[in-house]
Amino acid sequence: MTAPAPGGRVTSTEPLVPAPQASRRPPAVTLAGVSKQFRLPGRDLLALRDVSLEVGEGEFVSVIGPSGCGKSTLLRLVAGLIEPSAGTIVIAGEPPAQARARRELGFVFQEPTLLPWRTALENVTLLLEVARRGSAAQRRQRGLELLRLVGLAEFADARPAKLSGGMQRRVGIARALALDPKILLMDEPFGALDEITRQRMNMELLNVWAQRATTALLVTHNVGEAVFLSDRVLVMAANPGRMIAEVTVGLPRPRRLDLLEDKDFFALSARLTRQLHSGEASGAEPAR
Amino acid sequence: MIRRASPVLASFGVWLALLGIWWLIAVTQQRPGTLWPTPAQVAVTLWQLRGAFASNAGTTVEEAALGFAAAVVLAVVIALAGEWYRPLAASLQRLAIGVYSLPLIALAPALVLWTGSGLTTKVIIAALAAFFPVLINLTQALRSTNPNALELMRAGGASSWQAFRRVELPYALPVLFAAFTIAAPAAILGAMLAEWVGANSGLGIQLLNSMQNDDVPELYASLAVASLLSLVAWLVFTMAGRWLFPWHASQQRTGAGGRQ
Repeated sequence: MTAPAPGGRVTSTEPLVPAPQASRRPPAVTLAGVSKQFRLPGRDLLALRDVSLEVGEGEFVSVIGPSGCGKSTLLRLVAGLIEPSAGTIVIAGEPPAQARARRELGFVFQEPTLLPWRTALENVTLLLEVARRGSAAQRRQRGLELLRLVGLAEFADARPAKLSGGMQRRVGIARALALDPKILLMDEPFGALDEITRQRMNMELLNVWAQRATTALLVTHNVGEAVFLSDRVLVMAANPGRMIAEVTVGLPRPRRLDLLEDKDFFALSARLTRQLHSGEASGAEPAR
Repeated sequence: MIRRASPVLASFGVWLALLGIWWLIAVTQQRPGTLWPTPAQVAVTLWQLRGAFASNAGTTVEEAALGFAAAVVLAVVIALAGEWYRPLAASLQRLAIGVYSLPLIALAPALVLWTGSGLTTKVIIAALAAFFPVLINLTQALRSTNPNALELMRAGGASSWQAFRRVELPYALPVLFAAFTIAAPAAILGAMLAEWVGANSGLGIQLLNSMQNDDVPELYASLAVASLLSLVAWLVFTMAGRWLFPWHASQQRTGAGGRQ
């Protein structure tokens, strides 16, 4: 439908070579040689092995991989919710726990995870209350602004049970943005949605991201979603969880839904799918 | 409209049918002093002895209420202690199960020996009867808080107190109220049980006396009052739960919360 713009060429690099575009921006998130081992009864599980990556300031990076490849673990490490077994993580120059304490991270979960007794607005302002930021009136103002941003202003006083799945996820995104985080971490935020709703949510997410100029790190198992949203896509394989490829998405922004019919979009999606399968085929490596 | 009204009609119909069966049996079996007074005879007895029933019910309610309150305070303290300091939880739980498996009917005489046949014995027995459901449900509720909601709070830099107050406690409260609907009738039962061992007034003692006097209508009337008390206790906490936590899943299914 749309003719590919001049910048719309597929400028993907070979696996594991840092993209030139990424290195130009100062890093917002840096992982160096990060491994994570979980102690389970009777055995140790190597969830992540030697993962290194960089996310530039203002960049949108997606991580894709099969279930059980440690994508969520990666995100939880970046959020400082768990500690790495080896390696270092730096977020805007400081360790994750500190970034978390300074409220520089916004987190969107697989499930919307709204508190059922709070209205949409009260869910959005929850973390502002926790951070004791602003007066009640200011928090309310800010909450309403964010709800407007995700198109839910008229549902401010509705409890989650009255909202559809897509609306609940939009509230979740508004809530993650409430503290004006430098980095937005998203763990398959639209995983449970139908395809049409998912695409609409992707568009809205891009709008929000472009307006707020935040750095975004998204985990997904949907190749199309990763290509549509991202500047760069990282591919993971399971057993143990590891990075196997990196693809730069040179598609022009702002992106529109007709991009889904673009041949460059198809080429990139096909390439990522192949890489996912090659990761599957290489299969489980013996733990070291 | 019809679907909404039909459960009410149905339960009304069941009660009416039971009353009818009772009346039929009473009429066909009736000889003076038999086991089956008619519903009307029981109603007359209730009315004639209304003063005695009111004062006896008052005594039992007082014992049960004090016991219930003591049980709730104790159970909440123990559940929270177990939650905040996990190593304590297992031994507290074992202690609670030990207390639960004490046969109250056997414990009551021993308590009378220690504390006399005054209010204290009844309150303790009522508390023991109410304690366990509150403790178990609250412990369960505190552990089954949505883990994602807690991670959300942590990721947002919340302290564990903030997470407790804003997430764990609100999640646990509806479950606590559900436990109250079981514990409150249990406390009334406990109080009446304790009265059997020795008391000057109370529904339990009235029940026992009417049995020993072969006053069958009064026995049935006492039974009716005791059931009514338990029903009211249950109803109070059920309605309070619906009113306070209309968002809770248990309230949405019943439909009476008014959401669907």
